[in-house]
Amino acid sequence: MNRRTFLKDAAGALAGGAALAGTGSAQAPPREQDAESLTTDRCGADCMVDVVKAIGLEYICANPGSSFRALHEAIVNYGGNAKPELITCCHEESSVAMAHGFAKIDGKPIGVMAHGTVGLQHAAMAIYNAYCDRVPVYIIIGNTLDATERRPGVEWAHSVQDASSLVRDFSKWDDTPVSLEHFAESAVRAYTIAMTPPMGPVLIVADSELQERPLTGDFTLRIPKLTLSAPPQGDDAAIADVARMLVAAESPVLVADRAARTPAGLASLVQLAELLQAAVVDQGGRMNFPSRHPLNQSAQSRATIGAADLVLGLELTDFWGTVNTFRDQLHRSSRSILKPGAKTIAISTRDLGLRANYQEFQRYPELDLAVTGDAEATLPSLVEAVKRLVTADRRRVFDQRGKKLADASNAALDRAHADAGYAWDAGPVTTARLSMEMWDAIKHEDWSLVSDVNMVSNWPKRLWSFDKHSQFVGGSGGAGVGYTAPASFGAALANKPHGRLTVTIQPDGDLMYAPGILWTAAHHHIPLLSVMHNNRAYHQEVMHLQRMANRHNRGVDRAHVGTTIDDPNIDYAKVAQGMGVYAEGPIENPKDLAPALKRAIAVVKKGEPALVDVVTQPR
Amino acid sequence: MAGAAPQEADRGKQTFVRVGCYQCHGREAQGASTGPRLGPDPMPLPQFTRAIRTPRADMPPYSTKILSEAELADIYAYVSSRARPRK
Repeated sequence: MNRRTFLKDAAGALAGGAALAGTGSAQAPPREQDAESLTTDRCGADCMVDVVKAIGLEYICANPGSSFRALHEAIVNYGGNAKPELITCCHEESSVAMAHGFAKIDGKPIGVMAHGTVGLQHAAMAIYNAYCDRVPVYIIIGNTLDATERRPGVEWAHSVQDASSLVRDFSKWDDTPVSLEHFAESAVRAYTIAMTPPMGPVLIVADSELQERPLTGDFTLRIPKLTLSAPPQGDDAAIADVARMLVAAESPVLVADRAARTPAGLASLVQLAELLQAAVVDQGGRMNFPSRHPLNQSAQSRATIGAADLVLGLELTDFWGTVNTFRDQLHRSSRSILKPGAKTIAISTRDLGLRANYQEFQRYPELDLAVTGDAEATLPSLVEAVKRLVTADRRRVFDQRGKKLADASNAALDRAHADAGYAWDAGPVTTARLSMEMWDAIKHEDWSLVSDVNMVSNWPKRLWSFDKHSQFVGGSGGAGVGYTAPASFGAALANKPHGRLTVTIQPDGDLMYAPGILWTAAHHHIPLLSVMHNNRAYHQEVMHLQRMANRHNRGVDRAHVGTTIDDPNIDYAKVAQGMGVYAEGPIENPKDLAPALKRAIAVVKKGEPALVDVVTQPR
Repeated sequence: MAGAAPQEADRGKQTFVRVGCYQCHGREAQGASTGPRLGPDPMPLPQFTRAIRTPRADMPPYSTKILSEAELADIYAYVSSRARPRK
């Protein structure tokens, strides 16, 4: 049965007869005739574009693929290639990571299109990162379910019974619609699910038959109303208990990881901390707390937590790891860093998003009070509950506590500046010098750092003044390497209409996973300053090899085998230039860094990407 | 190390790189998130030696099979000779 005959017989439904639309459905072909009809003015993919526009996807990142050819064509022609605009990516991992980075800045998802087979396989690691990072990404995958409709050869290799099953363990929801009505409903549902905390990636399969189905000119698809769900808040009685414990505590610590989803979350945490004059440790999954706030004790997080009589965790990825140390020696061991009697409280949606197979949920934390609820949504009611309990006596205690914390915070900043001065003129460039030169170059701009900072010893968080939510976005979530470059460009795309100067500290090994993202950036004029942290190694793995070699009494002489990226050294400036990106380097003398940054920033301010390759110390 | 011969520090620099100390502590022993600063005022040599042979935390242990006492002393001379920070 060929497609056209099939449509005559069972208009509106896919193979298998599931969810048959009624006879006489508006999805029937334009007319029945004996002569073969070779063209149509409308197709199912047009309706899919209407749906995508209705839910508000601004961009769709994709490497082209035949299983979604009709949708691709409908986006650029029927949809006018605007909202969504197609972003050409050279790898599906880049497509998803771009969407991941975009959502970290913008708060809402953009789209990704990919083959349901080979494309999704490429995309899988980036989807895992988004899942671990609780970030919404909207993925549409093409597939041809009806075996009799597949072209011989490649289309069979690119077809699958259950496309989303590949990533179902680490995505939030998926569906395989069998009619356009089904597509519309599931597409809207997918968006709401992706955006409800804990957020996550979702997938919709766009069957090629549905995409390419010819439609009559008067066919209209009803698109359900999109209503985003209010995020879950902690139970009132439990929040009252949390407030009582916080007010009674002598040395409470507020630890935040993925707490501030929006600027409002940051403001609420500041409000709570100032109300209590409590120490705050920002673990950096989001921009939770101003780095130079006098209550910020992140620079001495272990000591602060160890001295606390109450630890309140807000959307922590790893509460157990927050209050324990783990020793990675021949015999692994751990111990609590909490002082005896210290209480632990969690406010989190973590338990709402867990899956069994992939173990990113970390070790089970023993808590005194666990509150299931989105931390950002819960903080305002916690603030109000605390306000009701604070007495004048407690206020005096809080104020004294705050003064001590401010002294500690000031001392930490002084220490950071002193520490950064060691090996200041060394080459390769120290990561402290790199960070300070970057800070000097951007501090008077509306800047946004869109890479994590742990690869450069957290120097930016120690030395820069972060106070706006858009100034930091945290890391990859799943530590899947290859995230930073595409996610940074995605974040830069989101920052573009705001005119922010977007900067990233780009690890060399990460860029080499899918450097084609540089071409994407040049092609689409995405303004981003990439400063290479080029330590010429997968340095984390160098250290692991070194650990094993020493443990086995063999020495580290061969720890570079399979872990370093040298011989030949990669000239990242040439790589970038070859893809149309302005680039300088490699810079080995730190004195050359400031003028190179100045020139590169001038390029970025004109709306283009720029890269400065800096040969750096390992960390 | 007061009075250490320059050649000891030079040898120590080579050993510091060869056995991978710099991977965590930086090429100038300036420290990083992966390992603390070691110079120019290191802890006393006996403690320094203990920290290398039988580290209490996560540092990989360096037994005498892979780092001799003489090499360790050279490393100590190297980290002691590091420059002070810029003001």
